[in-house]
Amino acid sequence: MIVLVIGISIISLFNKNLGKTAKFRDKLITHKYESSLNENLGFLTLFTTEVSNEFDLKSDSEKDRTAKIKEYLLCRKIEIENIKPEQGAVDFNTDDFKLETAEMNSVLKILAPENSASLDNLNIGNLNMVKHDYKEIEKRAYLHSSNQTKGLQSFVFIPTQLVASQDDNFLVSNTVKREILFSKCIEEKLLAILYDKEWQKIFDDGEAKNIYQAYFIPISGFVRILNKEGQNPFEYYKNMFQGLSSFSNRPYFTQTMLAADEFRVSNLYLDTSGSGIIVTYSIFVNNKNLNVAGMIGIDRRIVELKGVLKRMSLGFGIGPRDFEVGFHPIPSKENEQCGDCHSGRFGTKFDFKKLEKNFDDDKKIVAQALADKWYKPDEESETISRKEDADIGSTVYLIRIGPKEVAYFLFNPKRILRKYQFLTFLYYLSLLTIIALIGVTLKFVSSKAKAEKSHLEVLRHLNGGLIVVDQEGEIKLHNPKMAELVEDSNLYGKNFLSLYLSNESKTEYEHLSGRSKKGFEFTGRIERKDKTVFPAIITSASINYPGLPNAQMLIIIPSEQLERTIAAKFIHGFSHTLKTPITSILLLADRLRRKKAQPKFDYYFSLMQQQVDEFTNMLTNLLGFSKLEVEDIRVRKENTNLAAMLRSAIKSFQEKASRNKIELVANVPDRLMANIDKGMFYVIINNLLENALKYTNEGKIIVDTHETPGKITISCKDTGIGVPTDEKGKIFEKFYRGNTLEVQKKDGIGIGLYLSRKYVELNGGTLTYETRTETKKNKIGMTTEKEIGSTFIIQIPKE
Amino acid sequence: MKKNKIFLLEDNPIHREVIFDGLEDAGYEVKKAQDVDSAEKILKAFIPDLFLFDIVIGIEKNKGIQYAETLHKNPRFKNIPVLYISAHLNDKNIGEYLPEESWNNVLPKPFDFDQLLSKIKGML
Repeated sequence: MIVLVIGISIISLFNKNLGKTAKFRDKLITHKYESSLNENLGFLTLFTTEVSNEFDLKSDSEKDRTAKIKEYLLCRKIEIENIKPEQGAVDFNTDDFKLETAEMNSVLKILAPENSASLDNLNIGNLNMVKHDYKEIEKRAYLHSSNQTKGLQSFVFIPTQLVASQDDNFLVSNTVKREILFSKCIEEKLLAILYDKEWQKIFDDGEAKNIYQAYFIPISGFVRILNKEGQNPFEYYKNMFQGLSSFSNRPYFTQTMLAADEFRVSNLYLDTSGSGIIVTYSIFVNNKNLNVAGMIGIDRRIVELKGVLKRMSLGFGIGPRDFEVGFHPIPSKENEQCGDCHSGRFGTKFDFKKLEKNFDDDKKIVAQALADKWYKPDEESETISRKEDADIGSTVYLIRIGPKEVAYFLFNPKRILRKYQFLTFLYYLSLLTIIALIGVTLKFVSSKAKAEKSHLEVLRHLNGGLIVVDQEGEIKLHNPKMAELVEDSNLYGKNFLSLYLSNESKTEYEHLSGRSKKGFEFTGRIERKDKTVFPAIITSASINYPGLPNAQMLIIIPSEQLERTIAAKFIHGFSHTLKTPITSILLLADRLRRKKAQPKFDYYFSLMQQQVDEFTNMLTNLLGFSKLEVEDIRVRKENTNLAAMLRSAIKSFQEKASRNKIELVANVPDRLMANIDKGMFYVIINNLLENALKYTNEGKIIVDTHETPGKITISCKDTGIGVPTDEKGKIFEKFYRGNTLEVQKKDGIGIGLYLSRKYVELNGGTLTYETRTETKKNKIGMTTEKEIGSTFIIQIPKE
Repeated sequence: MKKNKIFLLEDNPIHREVIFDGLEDAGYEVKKAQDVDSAEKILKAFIPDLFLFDIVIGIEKNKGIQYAETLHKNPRFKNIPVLYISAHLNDKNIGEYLPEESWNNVLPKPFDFDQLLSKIKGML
C-alpha cells in the first residue's frame, strides 16, 4: 500500500490574476486558490492517505479526467460556517500572539504594501472564528473513507493561525478554534489531480489559469504561498525573506534562502509531533542541492489523525541549537486533547557542540557559496562541524558564516521514510525495554528495601552495643542494646569517650584511632551510667555517614557474654562474605549507568538481582541465627499451603537455575496444607534450594512432596557434588563448611543448614540428609563408589 | 592511540565478567582468566601493561600474589605492575601477604568501578 501524505494548501491572498509556473512535484501540489481577503482568509489543506486501490482515476478517460480537474479548479464553493467562537475558548499565549501579529504585519507589508498601512482595514467579511468539534470531524473523515474511497482518509480544513474574527481583527494564535470543512467537490478534484500523472500537462497547457506554482516558506511554522503577477516568484520570495530576516524565528533558514539560486518544495511528510507537516526543500546554491527539511505548522490536532502514520512521528526543524527528533505518543482516548503531544517529549536533543569538526569538501563548497552569497567577502566563514545522523538518515552541518552559526540538515527523504519504520520499531522496543527496566528496578528496589530492612533488623538484634560517633566521640546513633548495656536511656549527643569509656580505655582508643583511620579493635572497659564498669570487645570501623566526616561505628560486645575469638572470627568471616555480593552489586551498578553496556542491561540486571537476593539471604540467615542464639524463639504456627510456598520459592530460583543450565523441577500438588511457622519455612526452603543450586554444576534439582495421614515429606534432590562420607555428620553444625575444594570455592558463612535444621525442629519435624552414590566397576574390575548428588528431606508431622 | 593492555585474573565469575566488560568499555585491551592454568595459556601470546589479580584464587588464600611473583621472575613480565583486588586483605593482615612497597597496589573489595579505573590509571 502506498502511503501518500499530500498537502494542498490554498491561501486566499490579494491578487486575482497571477503568473503561473509548472514545477510541480509528483506528490505535492500547492495551489493558489483565487480569492480575496474578504472571501476567505486562511489556508485550506487537504491530506489524503492510504489511497484505496478501488479509487482509480486512471480508468477514466483523459477527457473525463480533464473535465474533472477543470471542475475542481472551478470548485470554489468553500463553505465556512458562520459559527461564533466558543465563549472563553480562545486560549493563547499573549507573547505568542504579539509575536505572530508582528510577524503577520511584516508579511503583509511585503505581500500587500497597499493594505499594510493598517490591518484594521482588512475586511474579513463573513469569515468568522469557527467552532471546533474535532470528534465530529474525525468521524466524518472515517465515515468517508469507509463509504466511498475505502482506505482513503481525507479532509479539508483551515489550519492556519490566520483565522480572523471580526472582533479581533487579526487574531493569530495556535489555539484559536478552527473549523475543518469537508468539501467533497474539492476533495474529489484534488484526488483526480493527485493520482493522475497527466495533470501537470493541463497546467502547462494553460488550462488552469488560476493555479500557480507555489512556494512554502516556514516562518513561525506557517505556510505561505507566494504569488505575484509578473514577478519571478523566487525573487519575490527572496525579497520577502529579506524583509523577514530581522524577526523570523527561522533566521538560518532565511539566510539559506537568501543565498539560494533556486528553491522549491520537494516533498511533504506529515509530522505528528504536534505542529504540522514536514516539508523538504530543494535549495540550490551554486547548483548544489541542499535538501533541507522544514516544518509547517498546522493544527496539532492533526496528531490525532495520524493513525495513517503508523502512530509515530518524526519531527524536526531548522535551527542552530534545538534540532530534535522526537517520538510522540498518540493520545489513547478519543477525546483526549493532545496537549502533551509536543515535540521532544520522548525526543533526543542533538547537541551541536558535540558534532565532530570535519566537513567533506563537497559540503565546504556549498558552505562557501552560502557565505559568499550574503556575507561580505572579508567575513570569516567556516564549517564548524558535521554529523551523519544514522537515526534519521541525515547529515547535519554546522556552518559559521560571519558571526552566525547556521545549521543545515541534509537528508534523503526516502531514507527518512525507511528510518521511519525503523524508528517505530525502535520506539516500541525502547518502550518495552523501559517497562522491563522499571519492572526489574522495582523488584530490585523492593529486594533492596527488604535487604535494608533485614540489615536494620540485624543491628537491632545485634547482641552488642552499636554506636556511631563523630570525630569528637559524640554519639550520633545507637542501637537499643547499647542503652541497655550502659543503663542509660538517652545517649544521643553525649560523648562516648568521656562518659562511657574508662580512662585507660579512652587513652587506648585515642591512640588506636590516631593510628588507623579505617578501624581497629581492642578490649576495653565500658562505664555504665552509675560508673560501674564491665569489660568489652570494642570494634571500631570508619563509616561514611552523611554529614559526619571521620565518623566511626563502634560495636561493643561485653566480653563476658561472648567469647572474644568466636565473635571476632564470626564478624570477620561475615564481613568478608558480604563483600563479594556487594562488590558485584557495585560493579554491576556501574555497568548499568554506562550507555555502551546497554545491550547487556537485562543480563546485568538479572545478575544484580541475583546478588541482591544472595545478600538478602545471608542477612536473613544472620538475623535468624542471631535470634536463635540469644532469644527464646517463639514458633508461630498457622495453617499454610506449603505447596504454594514451594512453588513460589522455586519460581524465584528458576531464572538462576536456567542461567546455570540446571533443570529445576517441582513435583508439587496444588494444595498441601501444613501447620507450620511460615517465616521459618520460607528460610528453610530458600536455604535448601540455594544450597542445591550452589553445589550443583549440571543436571537437575527436583523438589518432591509426599503426604501420608501422619506426616508430610518434602525432599530436595540434586545432582550436585554431594557430601563426602566423613563430613556427613557435620553439615548441620554451626559454622561448618565443607573441606572440599568445591565447597571452599563458594562463599558462605556456614549457618544456612544449621539454621534450617533448627527451624524444622522447632516446627516439630526433622531435616535429614542422604547422599546417593553410584557403584562403578573400573577397568581393572574394582568397584568404586561415586557421589551423584544430595537429597535433603524435611519431615513434619501432620496435625 | 595504542590501547593499554590489562590481564585480569579473577575467579569470581561475576566480578571477572563485569570488570572485563567495564575495562573494555573504558578503552583497554583486556584478557581474562579464571585460574592460573588458563592464565598461563593466555600469557604465552599476550604481554599486558598491567596485571589485575584477585588474591584468593580458588581456595588458595594468596594464589594471586604467588603467581605474580612467579611471573616477575620471567624476563618477559619482569617490570609489569600488579594491581591486587581482594576481599581478604585489610590493614591488619596485609603485612602477612605483601611487602610494604606493594601496599599501595591493593584495592580492597568492595570497590566501585571508578575507584578501580583511577587506580589503574595511576599505575599505568
